Amino acid sequence: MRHLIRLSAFYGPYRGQLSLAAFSVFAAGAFGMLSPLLVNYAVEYGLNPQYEGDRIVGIDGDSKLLLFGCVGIILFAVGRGLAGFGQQYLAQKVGQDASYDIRNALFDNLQSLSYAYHDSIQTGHVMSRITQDVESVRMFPAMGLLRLLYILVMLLIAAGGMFWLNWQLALVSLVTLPFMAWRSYVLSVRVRPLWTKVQEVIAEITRTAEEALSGIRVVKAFSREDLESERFAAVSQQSADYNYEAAKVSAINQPLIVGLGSLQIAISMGFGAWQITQGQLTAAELLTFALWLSLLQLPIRQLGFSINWIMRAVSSSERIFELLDARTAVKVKTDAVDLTDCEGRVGFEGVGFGYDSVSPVLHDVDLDIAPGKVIALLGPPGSGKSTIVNLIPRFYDVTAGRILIDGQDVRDLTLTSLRRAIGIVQQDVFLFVGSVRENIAYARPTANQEEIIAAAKAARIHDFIMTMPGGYDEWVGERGVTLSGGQKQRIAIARTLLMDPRILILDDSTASVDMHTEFLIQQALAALMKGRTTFVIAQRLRTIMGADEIVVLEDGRIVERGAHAELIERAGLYRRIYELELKDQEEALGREIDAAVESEAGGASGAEAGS
Amino acid sequence: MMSGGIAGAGGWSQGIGGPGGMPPQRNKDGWDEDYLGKVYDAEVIRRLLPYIKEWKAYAIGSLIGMILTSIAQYIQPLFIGLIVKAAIEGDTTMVFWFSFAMVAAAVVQTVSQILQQLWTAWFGTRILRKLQSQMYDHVQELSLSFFDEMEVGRIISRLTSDVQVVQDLMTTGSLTSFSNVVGINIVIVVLVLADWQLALVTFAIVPLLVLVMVLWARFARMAFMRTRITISALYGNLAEGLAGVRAVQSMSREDENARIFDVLNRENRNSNNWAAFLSSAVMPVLEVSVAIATSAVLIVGGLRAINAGVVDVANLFAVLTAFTVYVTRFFDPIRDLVMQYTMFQRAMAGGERIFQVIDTEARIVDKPDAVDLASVEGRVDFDHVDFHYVEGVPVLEDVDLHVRPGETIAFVGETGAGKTTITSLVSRGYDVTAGAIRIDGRDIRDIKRRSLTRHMGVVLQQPYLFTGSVGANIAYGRPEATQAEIERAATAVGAHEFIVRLESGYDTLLHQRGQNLSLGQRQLISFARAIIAEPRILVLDEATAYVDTQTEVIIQRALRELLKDRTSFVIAHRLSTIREADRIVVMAQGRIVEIGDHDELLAAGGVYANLYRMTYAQRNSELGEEQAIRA
Repeated sequence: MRHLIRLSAFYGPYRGQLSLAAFSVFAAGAFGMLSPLLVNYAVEYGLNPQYEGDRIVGIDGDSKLLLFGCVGIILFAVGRGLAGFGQQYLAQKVGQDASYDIRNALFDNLQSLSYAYHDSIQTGHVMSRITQDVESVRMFPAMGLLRLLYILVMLLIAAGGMFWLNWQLALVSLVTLPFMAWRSYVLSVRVRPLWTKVQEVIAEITRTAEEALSGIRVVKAFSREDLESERFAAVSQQSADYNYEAAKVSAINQPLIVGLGSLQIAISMGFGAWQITQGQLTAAELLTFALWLSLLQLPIRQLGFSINWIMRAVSSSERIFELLDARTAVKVKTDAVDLTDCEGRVGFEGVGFGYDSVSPVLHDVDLDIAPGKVIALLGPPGSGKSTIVNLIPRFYDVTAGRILIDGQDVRDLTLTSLRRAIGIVQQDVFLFVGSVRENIAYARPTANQEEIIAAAKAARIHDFIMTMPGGYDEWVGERGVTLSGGQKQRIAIARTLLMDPRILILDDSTASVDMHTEFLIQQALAALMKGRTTFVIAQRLRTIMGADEIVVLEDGRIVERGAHAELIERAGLYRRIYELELKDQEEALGREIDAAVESEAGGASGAEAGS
Repeated sequence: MMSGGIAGAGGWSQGIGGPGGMPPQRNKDGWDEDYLGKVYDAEVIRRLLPYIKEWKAYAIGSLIGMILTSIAQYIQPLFIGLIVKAAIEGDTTMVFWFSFAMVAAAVVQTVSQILQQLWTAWFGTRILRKLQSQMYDHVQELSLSFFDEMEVGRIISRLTSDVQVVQDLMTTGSLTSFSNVVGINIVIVVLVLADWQLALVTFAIVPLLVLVMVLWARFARMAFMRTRITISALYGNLAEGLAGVRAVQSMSREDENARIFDVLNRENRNSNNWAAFLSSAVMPVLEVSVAIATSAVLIVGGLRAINAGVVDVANLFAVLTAFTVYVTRFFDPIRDLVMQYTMFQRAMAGGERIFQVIDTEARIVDKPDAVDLASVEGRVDFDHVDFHYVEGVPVLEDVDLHVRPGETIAFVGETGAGKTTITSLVSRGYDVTAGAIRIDGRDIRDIKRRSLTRHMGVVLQQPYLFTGSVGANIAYGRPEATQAEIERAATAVGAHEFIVRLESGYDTLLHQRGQNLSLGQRQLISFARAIIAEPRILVLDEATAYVDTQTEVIIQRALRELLKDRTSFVIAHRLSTIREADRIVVMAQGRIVEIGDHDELLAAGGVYANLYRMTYAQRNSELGEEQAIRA
């Protein structure tokens, strides 16, 4: 019951329409199920059969009464048609309107939930939940609630009418109904998990084919078409089997239910005819029974399904509420102020953090960074580098100490103003489906064309954009052009430039790209970092040496800080990392410098040769 | 009064009529805009026939079962009439027999329908299975140019959605339609035989009804298409919002995104409401049609009897009863037929697309007399090779290159110069359009593909791994490899060290094609995979481009070992790799423009020297800047 109440909350705003729909249900049921009685009267009084004992021997018809009855039949049909329209349309509309509200609410809530929440969920899982659960709530009024009501109304009126006309025949006529309803329920319950399985195996087919076909170059290079064929054949076979399994359940139950209905009519007709011969029933009444039974066939078949829809909607609403009730861990104070004219001073005061209460990730971090400085964060994986930068825009909240921007605790600021002051360039850039222009203007949709081009130029991506057929209107993301990692990163840099934040967070653990691209990225980054307080999660010697201060982390603590030269002399963790990982790069860097010097010479000689 | 009840009209869009009342999700891939074909495409049917023939017994059984079901079902109102007649005549024996006949009809109807549905499901799923595998195997044999043109998502939608609609048609659609036609005809014959005048009166309304339904179906089709398009747009947006939620939050785009979502959501709601309006609006029309037909029967039949005076009363009542019951069942099949119209169109369109794929030529398959290469020395000759994807747009022209065993060839040139194409031709991803490529003097088209690839190791720019263990991935091209061989290959490329540190070593499962590994690690595994069979020829397509600096150092070391004594084709941007090649082949617009080693080419001052200067001169200024900063 509690579940039903929660479910009904979705439709609360539409109770007016829902009541009208319910009223239509009664009207449609009444008009529909009473019209066989009209047929009865049209025949009984319009034709006026003459009896001799128990047997009809002739008619003494009255064409006026007959016409009158038929007009009644048509009027009832109009009535039922209109009421049926009202019921059907309103029920669907209420479902759709409610699911519109739910989707918007879900979207807003999911967007506002902090990283901690999104870390804990699987996107695909939530997606399928939303698609399926909102669908059940959408279908609930039309397929579940009002359908059930309609079936019950029809059943009650028909049963009432039958008992009123002839209780013996009524008893005989309703004998198989419970069994039919039960089978239809069994069918609806049994077939659903099977179709879920079918859906899953179709997903498996898609996955298998996708994997092999996306890697077709590898498959061909190794001539392993046989292996992939086998894999595909296996899932395809499984899909055929499940499909058949599911089809089997309905292939047996559906004809059984329909057949039972036919059997019921046959039995009733036989019994009714026998009653006629005994003078207990008139022919017109038997006709009325036949019509009633015909009319009841479909609703009875749907009874089980409507009950199943109701149960689904109830359990779906539970899951929807779970998503709707999820509250963000990052709360904004009611008296939060906007961060205005941010200078870019960032302070960490005794900051501690843990994703859960058991295992802290950061301990007692103290930092004070002057506006415009570049800080390189360095340390082994899991040392807390990413955590530190995620705390500044409040993707997570500190569990101890505080973080200050221009001397204000970040928790006293509004989230929007805080985050607008901070730009982030990640290693794996997320591009949204849309044009290049929209992606660059993502954080500032109001930016004009000049600003967008200026940002793209500074990010060294303008020239590339112009080589695409659509230029800035070229579609990227799914179903659009595929961009390389280097191109994506420069688009992200342009995006951030346009946002013009005072504080910058960079992930420099970029996989290396070809020299030209890397050169472009470095130029773009230089343009971006100019005059901004920058935190760099660094892996490259080049970036590290360009930083104002290097902060070395280990197990969530700052273990060393200073400039490159100082740290090398100290022979601590930095020195070890340097020896193990960075030194090679110095060689590479040296090699590149050699090459460059050489090429300069070559270029000069080439130029001479050219002139 | 009507027969279908309220469910029928709405059921179409909602999918409750479908398998087990699943919400309509099957076509969510949204790749092919709902394209509707002809209702009946003879070519598609002709192509489907062989598949049906294979399960002939089931197909014929289904057909017979279906006809039996229809007859048994639509004969029943006739029995009702006869029962009434017998009852009025007071003939209890006949009442009993006709009732018995009706019970028998119900039993026949049930049994034959169960059998028919089981058989249809059986051969339908088998045909689906066969079509699917056949298509898949065919696609795999196609040359790479097919994959250049066709996105994987679209191929998959052919494999799943299109096959599914054809199956739906064969298993439910066509047989239901056929049984509807049979049913309608039975009703017509019975009614005409029983009383042709009343029959005409009953059918008078049909043309009008069909006209209304067809017009309605046209509107409804568009409306339902619209609901599918809007829902897939909505869920696409939602999925993106979820996947990119971190980016969204970091740029404070929540409000704008909520606005966009609301627009899409509203569009979906409105299109659904319009579809609901249409599907509900057809109700009154059907209701009134049935009522008019019923009334017409009563009025015409009744007046005729009244005016005639003395009549056969039993017959009159029998006819009236049978007709009114028939009327309630007559409009169901007509409505269903109109509904199935769309299903036919979609299935024909699906079939057309399926056969399009199966008919695609450009397969690369072994000649019947192709030979096995037992061993390969490694000499590779390009004899005036031409290649184009599209006639008239040459990609490679007159490429003439002769490579000695063990030589390392580096290809250099701008994007689109044809470097990757050349390397793809060596492994027969495409076939040359003129000239020939020979390995040890033998045209590669005369060699079994299996044996060709066994002697060739390929590493692609983007490391591509498969779901499965690390070990299985390394042994991909050589499934019979022992653990020792796998480890030797991994050690040779410097991957062994990190692999043994993974949680289950070589048995560690790769999730989502190795997303749990770094790009560099994946590239190392693909290196190991390429060399496990000790290939004589190595093809590396910018294989080190995406590797981080640490891994690159490892790879560079490994490469020196690997390239030794093997014929190698390398597409590289990195200076060090290019410089160490025996010969550098400079490509421009599909032609070889220069060949020579680094020093020769620099000295020649041609394209290579120019390219070299352009790339590295820029670098100078930046490095200079950096040195200045460091100083």
